[in-house]
Amino acid sequence: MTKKIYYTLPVVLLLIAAFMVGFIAPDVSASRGNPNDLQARINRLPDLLKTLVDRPSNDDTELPVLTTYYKVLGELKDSYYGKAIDDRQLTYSAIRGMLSALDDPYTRFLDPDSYKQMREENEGNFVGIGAQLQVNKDQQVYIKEPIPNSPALAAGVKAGDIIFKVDNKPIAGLDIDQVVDRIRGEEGTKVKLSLIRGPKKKLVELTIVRRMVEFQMVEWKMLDAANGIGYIRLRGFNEHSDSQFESAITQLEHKKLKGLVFDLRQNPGGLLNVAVDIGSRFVESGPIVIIKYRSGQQEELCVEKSKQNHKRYPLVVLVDKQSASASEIVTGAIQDNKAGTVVGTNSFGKACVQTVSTLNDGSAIAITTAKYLTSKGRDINKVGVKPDVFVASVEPKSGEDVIEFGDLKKDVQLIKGINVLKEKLGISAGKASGGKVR
Amino acid sequence: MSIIRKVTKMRMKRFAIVCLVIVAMTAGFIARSQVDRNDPFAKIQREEALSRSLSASAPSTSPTDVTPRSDVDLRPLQVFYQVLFRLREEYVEPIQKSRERDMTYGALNAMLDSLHDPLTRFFAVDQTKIVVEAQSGKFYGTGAVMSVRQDKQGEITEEKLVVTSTLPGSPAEKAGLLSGDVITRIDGKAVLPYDPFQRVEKYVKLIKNGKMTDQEFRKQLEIENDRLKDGIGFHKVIDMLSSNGVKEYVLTVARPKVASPVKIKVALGETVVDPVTERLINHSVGYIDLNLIIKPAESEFNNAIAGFKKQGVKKIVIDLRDSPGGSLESAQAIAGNLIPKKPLSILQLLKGKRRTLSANAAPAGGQWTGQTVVLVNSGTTGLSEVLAAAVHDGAGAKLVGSKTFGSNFQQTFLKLADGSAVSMTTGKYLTPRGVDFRNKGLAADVTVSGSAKPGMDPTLDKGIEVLTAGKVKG
Repeated sequence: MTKKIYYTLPVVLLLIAAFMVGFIAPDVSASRGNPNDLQARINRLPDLLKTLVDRPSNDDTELPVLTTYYKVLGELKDSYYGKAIDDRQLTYSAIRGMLSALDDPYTRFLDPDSYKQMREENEGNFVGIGAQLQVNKDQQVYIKEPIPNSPALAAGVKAGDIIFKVDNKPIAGLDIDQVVDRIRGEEGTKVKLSLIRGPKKKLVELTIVRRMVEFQMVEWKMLDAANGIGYIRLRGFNEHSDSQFESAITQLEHKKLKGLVFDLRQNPGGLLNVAVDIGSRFVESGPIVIIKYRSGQQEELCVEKSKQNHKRYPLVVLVDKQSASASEIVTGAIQDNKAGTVVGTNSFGKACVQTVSTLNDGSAIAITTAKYLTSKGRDINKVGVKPDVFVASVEPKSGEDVIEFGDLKKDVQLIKGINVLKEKLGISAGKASGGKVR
Repeated sequence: MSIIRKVTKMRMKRFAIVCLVIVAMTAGFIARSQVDRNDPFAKIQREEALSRSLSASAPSTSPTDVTPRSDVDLRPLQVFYQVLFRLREEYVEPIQKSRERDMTYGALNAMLDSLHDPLTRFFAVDQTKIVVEAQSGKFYGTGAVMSVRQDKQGEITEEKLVVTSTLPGSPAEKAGLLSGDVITRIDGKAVLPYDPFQRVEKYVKLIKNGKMTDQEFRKQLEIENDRLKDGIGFHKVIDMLSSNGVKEYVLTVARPKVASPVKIKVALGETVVDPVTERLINHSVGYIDLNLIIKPAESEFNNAIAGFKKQGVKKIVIDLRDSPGGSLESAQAIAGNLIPKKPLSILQLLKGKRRTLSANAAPAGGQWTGQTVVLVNSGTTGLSEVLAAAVHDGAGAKLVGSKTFGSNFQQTFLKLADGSAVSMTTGKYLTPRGVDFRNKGLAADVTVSGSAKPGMDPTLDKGIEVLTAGKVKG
């Protein structure tokens, strides 16, 4: 049961959850609080309904958004014959409907659950034991992999362990979400796992203290030790991405790194400041990105010199059509400054910035507040970053397993990237391990 | 992965459309007058009701009319306000006035659609005009009367867009659409239910728990992908097929008892329905075809009855087959001829309240006292069913034909200041004996199988036979 589909499951689930709030891709965003004046106004509702909320108008054929909504809600309360009116859900629907009129999928409403999930993703932490769970063909829940630096790993949990009991209670019959719920809990509390290990079906009982675990945003390996070709894959731009990247490149340097393949495929983006930090590791000086506000004002976000604490290496960046937003900022900056060669397909083409604001009841609104241009002023909206070397993504044929990124035999974009990097390093491409590039 | 991605993106594209979703035009395709605030069932003129708009009392003109309500939770409203405030202040492009109108429409659409109720929806200005014109018997589009059937099957609610009947002389009738046809595609694009992602979500759950193979999962996602890609929601489809324009659509329909899907090309056009046509069957039997229960039908029906009386007719056949209903006021007026002042229906309201709705007093010429039979079929819908049941219960008229559609929700129509409108379900019509016939329909007293063909109408023949035979064993 090593099919890729299971490996990507957390992402699948994330996207399904995202369906509920109608969003496409995580994005470049910045958080901030509420100005006091807004809070004061809100507290004066519904007085405000009369005057401030909707635009004052002398045209009595106008339908002001909030008052019209309020009236229809009242009509429903008075006369609707059907299921009970849930003010909150109805209002959330109305807000989403209102936003749909903007034709901007990135301006979106996040209910408290979705917002919590988004914050967790951006902060890059969760409380738990730090193990990835899966279901095998016998419908047993087992440990796919303990996350590095996690309590699970420290306690001795091993990949392949089948979970038999949680806190002495058998889990047979529960689905994977229910098992995850049982294992998760408050920071500092303990959970006891009864595991069945190995072909001898040895019973292993471990008590693990739950604590904060970092999402692993970075995956790295030395692809070709002889030639010093290293590989770093970045899954997203959260608050730990830059430090995890730094740690990866430092470890690659210990292994005599000479050239780097930086994989941004399937990376949907994330935090804007993190994009600038990561971009600063590849671009010598100048802007990483230019932000264009609604006022027409432009702001250049420039290289953070403090991030340039390692050498710059000959570089290949891998992108695909799912490389979006923050990924495109970094890729665009690298391409504009000729700091590396971009290999793959056109990227997603999302050149706008969202600001996320917390709302009264724990929900939030992400609003597109600005557009951006790449470091040299290119607008890539809807076009994406065009690769220097085009290599199509390989879709698995029906019935075949999904091709894993980093597979030196099947990942044709990576294979091409390695060859491009070898040319840069003056190594003949003939030595490349792996198959031919189409 | 990429499939799921695609699905995600499609969900986004569909978002606006999903927001538009649904509406049945069954019982309530003709608007009922707006409920009056003090006496919800007071008879008020329809035109007056329609012009009494929500925003006639909108805060922009008279702020004091927005009364804070103790039963509205203000917290979500505050959230709504915060969102609106932020958008106006911060959105990357300043929000224009026309955009604000679209935002209002979007909000109303989505809030009403979230109730997943075919009769509760928003109508844009053009659609409202079409609904209003239907009250005088003028229809646009294909002239197919459609409704949404919801049927819970396990975790999935199957929702289908069904043709309940076709208006006489309409393009839909000419094209051969039949009552019971389920519209599955329009110009090749799938007709999507309220929640088109139910299946995807189910498959994700299955694979997550190891109950589906990777291969099967991908195959199912591809199928859903194709369906969702260009899919169109119920409400939008209904609006397309009811619009005032020149166009042709190819509909793919699933027809009962036909194995493969049927493709039907149907044009849009105007259909003017004469609500009442009458004729003499013989010297003692008259026939009234009541196609629509609308305002003009009231006097036409009175005249038909008066005419028959003058000619010495003793017995009548009232044909309510394929009659899609109309307005409550007109049903009360027409019933005044047959069951004056007797109960027309018991209206079930929210919180268990009930109210008896009575037929009007007999018109000037007096009530009809002769024997009556009523012809019904599966296209007898809404207020037509209400009328059939009332005449059955109150005047002992036999129902001849086949089981009726089974749609008894009351739909109330509120016109908004800019000419758009909101409709909502406000009650349920029960028979005078308190029977809820929703989905079940009314059973015929005398069942006739086989539909009418040119020169042959077995149901009418049976109706006449019932009248002439006097007493018939049900």
